Amino acid sequence: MRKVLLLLACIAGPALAAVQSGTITRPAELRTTPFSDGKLVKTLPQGTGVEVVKRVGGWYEVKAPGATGWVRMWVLRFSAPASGATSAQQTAQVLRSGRSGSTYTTATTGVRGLSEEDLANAVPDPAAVQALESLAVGQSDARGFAHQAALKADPRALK
Amino acid sequence: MSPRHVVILLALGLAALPAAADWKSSLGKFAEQAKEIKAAVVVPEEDEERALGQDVAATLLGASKPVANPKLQQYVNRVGLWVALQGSRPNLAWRFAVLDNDNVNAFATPGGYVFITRGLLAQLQSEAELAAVLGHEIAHVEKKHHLKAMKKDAGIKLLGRGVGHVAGSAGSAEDRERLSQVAGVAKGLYARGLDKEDEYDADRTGTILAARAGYDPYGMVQVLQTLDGVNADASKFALLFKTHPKPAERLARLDQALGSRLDSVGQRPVVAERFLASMRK
Repeated sequence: MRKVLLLLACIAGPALAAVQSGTITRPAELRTTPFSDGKLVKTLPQGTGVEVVKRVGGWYEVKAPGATGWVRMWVLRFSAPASGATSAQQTAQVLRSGRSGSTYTTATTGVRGLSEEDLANAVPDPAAVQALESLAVGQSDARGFAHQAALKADPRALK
Repeated sequence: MSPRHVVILLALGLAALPAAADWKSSLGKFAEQAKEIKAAVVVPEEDEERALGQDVAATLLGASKPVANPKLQQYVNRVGLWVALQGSRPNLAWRFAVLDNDNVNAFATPGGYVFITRGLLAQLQSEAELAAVLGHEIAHVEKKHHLKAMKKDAGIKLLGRGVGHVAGSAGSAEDRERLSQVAGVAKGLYARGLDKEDEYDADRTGTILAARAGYDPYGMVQVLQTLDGVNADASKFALLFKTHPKPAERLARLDQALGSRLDSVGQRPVVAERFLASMRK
């Protein structure tokens, strides 16, 4: 089981955990590499169905009818999966619950709350707000945690 | 006392000053006194905002409790605070919590409380996506979207309680009355949602905050594409989709605002492994 978990953890990330299907929402240039100066394979018409292999930066690698290549992330729309959950989400849920993927739709704890009705009926709970204090972390803790994942603050990004 | 009242007080005081040669020292003394009066009477605006936020948070936590998993809660606090440190209000007492329910949503209150449901966490695939979602909520706090909307709904009445007071059964009758008023206004606002423009603004700002925190800048795009691909009729999405513009519309607006610039950020970590490991703890 641990090996399976490890394997699943390794393949998640920018690469999608499983193939997902999507639709091209506007005429899109399919390129050989995930760069705007990558060689043009062809232009995919709006409505083209594709399989999404992985993501690198702002690009998806897709399998289109008769061609494979990269399109900008923005031109793609995912289709709603029949089960109500994508494979990647099922993976995450399996990792969390330790149950098999097929139980995903029923693997809820039965806890409800925060539906519109629950919100309307809520009785304020000030003690629960106070209890959050014990879970808080300090600024230096947060900075160290970021450092562990090689995250570097970049105050000039998107200025 | 509002800042305007302090200004009026100051003006009255200045008019009463003697036209003596030592006016400078009188003025200095008066400024000193005015400072003391202000400190004694005016509750700092940020404290008022925090107190209001505590009441709003109490209302939301009345509808759903935090997950009883300190490690998970601490993980979300670390990611959230790291993102908030890149913003315009890094020194607020930011508090993050995962709520134990299946509905897919996230909430922010005035003063720095941010909640994400277990249902929304289950839709995410990496820490970069979590950072973008928390960044979106942090943006609502930074820009005081809920505070402004609540003031509009209920007027200034909601403010004025300092953070020193304890709401609920331990507080004064006045505090309990205020909590019940705030809860009423909050229930209306959080069921109705903010102005659409505030949501688009939070998508942009959340994306920027996540990028400044060093994450892959496409987290928000990925989350919105996931939400665009779900079966929107499922009841667990009902409140989210009622209170927010459609994901496709949010994507279009984000593309318009930042689309051509996200590549300039370059390749950054998505931090998937640590995210998944924290989810299964």
